Amino acid sequence: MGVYGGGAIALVPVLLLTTGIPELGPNFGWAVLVGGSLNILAYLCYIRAIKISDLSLTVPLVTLTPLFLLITSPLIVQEYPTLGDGVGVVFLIVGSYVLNLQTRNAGYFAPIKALFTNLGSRLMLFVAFIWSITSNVDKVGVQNSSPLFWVMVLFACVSCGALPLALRRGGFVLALAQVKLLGLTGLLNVTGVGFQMWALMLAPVTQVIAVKRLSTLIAVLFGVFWFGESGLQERLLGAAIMVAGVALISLT
Amino acid sequence: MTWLLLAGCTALFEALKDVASKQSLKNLDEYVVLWAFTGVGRSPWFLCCC
Repeated sequence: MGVYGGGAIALVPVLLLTTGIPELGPNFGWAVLVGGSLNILAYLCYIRAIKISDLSLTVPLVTLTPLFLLITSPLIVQEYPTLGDGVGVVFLIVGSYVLNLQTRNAGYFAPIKALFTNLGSRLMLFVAFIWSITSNVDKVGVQNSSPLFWVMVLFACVSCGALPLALRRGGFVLALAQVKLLGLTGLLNVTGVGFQMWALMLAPVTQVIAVKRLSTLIAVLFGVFWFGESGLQERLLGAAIMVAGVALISLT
Repeated sequence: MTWLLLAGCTALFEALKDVASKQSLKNLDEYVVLWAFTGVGRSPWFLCCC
């Protein structure tokens, strides 16, 4: 673990040293401000959602981001969806219905209602919506700097923004007791980012992101087998349909 | 096909991060977990402790 984490952490400064600090465009500042603030809000909702609801129910809903992108992309960066995007979004909607199929005894619309009545699902829908905005802000940020520099600055902002919130809650005594688990969480995150950046150097971003979304299927399996959550068949099928939708959108 | 293996590892670590977060949240405040989520893993100091 230490080797993988070290490699991931070492990768970023090494890449930055080789490429240098890019020339910053006029829109970089507001992109950092908006992207950083919205990402703090999104991550807070994300963490609250997985805290109060099943992992296998909430995590797949993040793949709904492209659904909201249909609205936000034309408004922010004037990009319009293709036919492939439309078909992919249908997959996403069907998948999110199947995800809540356990509630179908209460009526045909019950799985859709469950998306809005379950607080965890509702929070994750909000996260998907926020990330549909930040995806566009990311584009502005990258255009006004470089992909690597943007990711580094954005993560630094989210981390710095989260620190006073964590300090205010005074949870650091407890945190010290759980330092290994917390550190493992951070390490897993940064190692994943490291692998993603490495993959991005070898393949187009669309292909890498499509494969990355398989994480929702893995999360469903962990939710059921690690945390003892119910509804393996429905949730795995729903997540698989949603991942297929993301793949369609990414690859067409 | 190295990229496929690397992207697969990305997916695995993404899911493992969610599992570790949910496990941490059983005892910890979400703000602390959020900070760990984005900050602790970037600290070389923590790597030394591990």
